[in-house]
Amino acid sequence: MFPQPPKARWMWLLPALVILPLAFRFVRASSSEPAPRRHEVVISGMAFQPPIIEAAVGDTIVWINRDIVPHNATDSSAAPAWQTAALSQGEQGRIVVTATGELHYFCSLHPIMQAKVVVQ
Amino acid sequence: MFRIALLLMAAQAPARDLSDAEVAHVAVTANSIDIELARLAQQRSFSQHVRSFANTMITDHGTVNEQALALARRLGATPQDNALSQALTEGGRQARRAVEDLRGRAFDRAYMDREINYHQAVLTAIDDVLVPSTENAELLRLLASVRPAIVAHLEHARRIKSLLGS
Repeated sequence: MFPQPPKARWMWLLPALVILPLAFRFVRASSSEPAPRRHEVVISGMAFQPPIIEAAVGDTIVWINRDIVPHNATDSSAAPAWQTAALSQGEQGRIVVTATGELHYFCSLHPIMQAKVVVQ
Repeated sequence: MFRIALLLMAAQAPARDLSDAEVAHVAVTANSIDIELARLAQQRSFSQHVRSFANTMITDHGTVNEQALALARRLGATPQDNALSQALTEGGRQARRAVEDLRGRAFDRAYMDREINYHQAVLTAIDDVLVPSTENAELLRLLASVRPAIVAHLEHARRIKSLLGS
């Protein structure tokens, strides 16, 4: 057996020295981030209830239609980025929030129905 | 004319003058009349607002009719023709005659005027005749759940009318 050069004796420690602090940091970061939440908006009496929801990136917004007539939730932007399906009575639609800001939306079937999600 | 006929009937009909089967017939008749006129609007109008409104009328009033007929079947009742239903039908015929020869913006304005009058009249009929006449709790719940939709349709129609201008 050839004698190992002195440097090689601690070389195996290098990956551990790099990975362990990173892993520790990741675990700490993960535990401080709140878990994604689910927010329900009930559609009843031709209105979104509540009309304003506060959410965070990663949260899910769920619309539940309790009205007799179909509804949807549609992005109010000039070029709408999202829209749920038309929801019959008892049906649900959902989106996952991906960016901060105010998401104004309306029912494209009944445009007088308007509401918003404030994403922080 | 349609609204006048309904209001006259509403004024003449004392509370609890209609049976539940007659109330159901009035509801189905009123919905059917609006669906028929909305189909005409889909054929005649070039306005995206008007066509979209007409689509919603077909969907919503069609859904209410399905529920009213399902309720009648569940209760073992057959909706019964009556004087108010007949007045509605005649008013619907006259409304159609008034708009069916119109084209373009003239049609759109006349159709939206008629929709405003129609939904105002239906609200009056619900409040003054149908609800006071109804005894069955499920039918009352159906009328109560339909009323906000009629209010929303009325507001929607007014907005479109204002977009169309005079």
